Amino acid sequence: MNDIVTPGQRLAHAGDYKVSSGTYQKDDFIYASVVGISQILPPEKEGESPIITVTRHKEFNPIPDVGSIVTGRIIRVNQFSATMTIMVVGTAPCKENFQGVIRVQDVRATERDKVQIYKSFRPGDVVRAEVVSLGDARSYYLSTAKNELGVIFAQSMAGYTMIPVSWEEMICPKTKVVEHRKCAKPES
Amino acid sequence: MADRKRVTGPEKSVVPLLEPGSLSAFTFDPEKRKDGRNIDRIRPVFMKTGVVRQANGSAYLEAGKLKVACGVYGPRQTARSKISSRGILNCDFKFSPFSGGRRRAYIKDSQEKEYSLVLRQALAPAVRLDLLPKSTVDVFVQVLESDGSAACLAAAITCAALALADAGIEMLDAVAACAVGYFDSTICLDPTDEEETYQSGSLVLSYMPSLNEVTHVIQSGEIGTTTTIKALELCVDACAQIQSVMQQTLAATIKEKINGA
Repeated sequence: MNDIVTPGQRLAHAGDYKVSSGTYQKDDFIYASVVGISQILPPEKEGESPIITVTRHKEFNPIPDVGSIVTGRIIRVNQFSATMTIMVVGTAPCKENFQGVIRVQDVRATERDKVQIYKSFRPGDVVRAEVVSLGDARSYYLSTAKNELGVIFAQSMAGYTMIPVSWEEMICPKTKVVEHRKCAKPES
Repeated sequence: MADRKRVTGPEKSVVPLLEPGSLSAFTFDPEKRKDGRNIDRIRPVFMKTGVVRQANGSAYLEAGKLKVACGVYGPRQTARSKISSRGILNCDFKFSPFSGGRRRAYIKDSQEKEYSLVLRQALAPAVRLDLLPKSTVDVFVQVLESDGSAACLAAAITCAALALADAGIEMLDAVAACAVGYFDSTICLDPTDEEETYQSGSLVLSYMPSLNEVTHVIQSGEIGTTTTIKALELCVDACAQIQSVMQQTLAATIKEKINGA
């Protein structure tokens, strides 16, 4: 059943399928809520009803949600937090950037009281972080308190791309200057 | 010598000579509409999506002389310092300065402000704003050529719903809208600008045909209940027709994409 559907189109009876992205249930029926192609996926577990979903026909402006992994650039730091502009949500690039904040207590998982923002991030670093809350009016609250989260790209004072040497240090290949960062564990 | 500063008319005035029937062209006859439509017919409608490249979703709608374009931007971060768990739908309705008979100003006038509000009220119940926390969706409707203010509003709602669907924003249903004019006891669908000058009232219905739910009704003039109910029924039928065009348009965009890729 790979049909082209439009919002409001009735797809199935409510009991027959499990509602997933791009669909919603109202009264006894399942309807499409986006323009796209409807698909029926096999159930996650044995004995459950199959999943019905509608995939969008073009890429959608992603918005960060609690738990999503985001990538962005640090734009300013102070002793309490680092402000980041979110440019990628998951793997999807944003058309317009969102603002996020990494507070000092969310930088790493251990010895939170000893964290110094200046030794973790610098403006211009590209950072991978997780959204911990929708935050305040202005920004999302982000966290890098996991091994695979942190700085993934940074340049030294001399302007060369640095190489991580430990989870909290990076070295400049030209000047051999060691700078402090909260590095992300490279993906193997 | 007469007083030069005073405009003096002729000494004798006479009633203008009118040929029999020469005034009949200025009255509205519901049986004989200028464009040859029946009173229960809407103008043939054309729709297209993806007309504004930088927008997330866009649509263009044409019905007779009426031409409306719409661009949808977002969801993007709310600029206002207000936090909400639901998304915000911002609507902006604008007549182009050259759209109607009289040239309009660039600044929004009271009618455009009212229509912006109506647009939001008509669309917001259909958009699933609960899925877009902290975000804003901006809808900009521009009337390129207007032909009947009520019909313009209806076309703007339809066009905006189409653009929202094109942007991939989750909606309960594609909202279709339709206008009627009251001419004493006759109800006339989709009145043009010329017909509107003779009407005693009007009604615009925004409707979700698949769910059979009304999102917005706006009526002006003094009309009895029975006439209103009849008008609503007419609008509901017309909205279903409009929605089928919307669905075809949206499906055609996907087909194009599949065939092109």
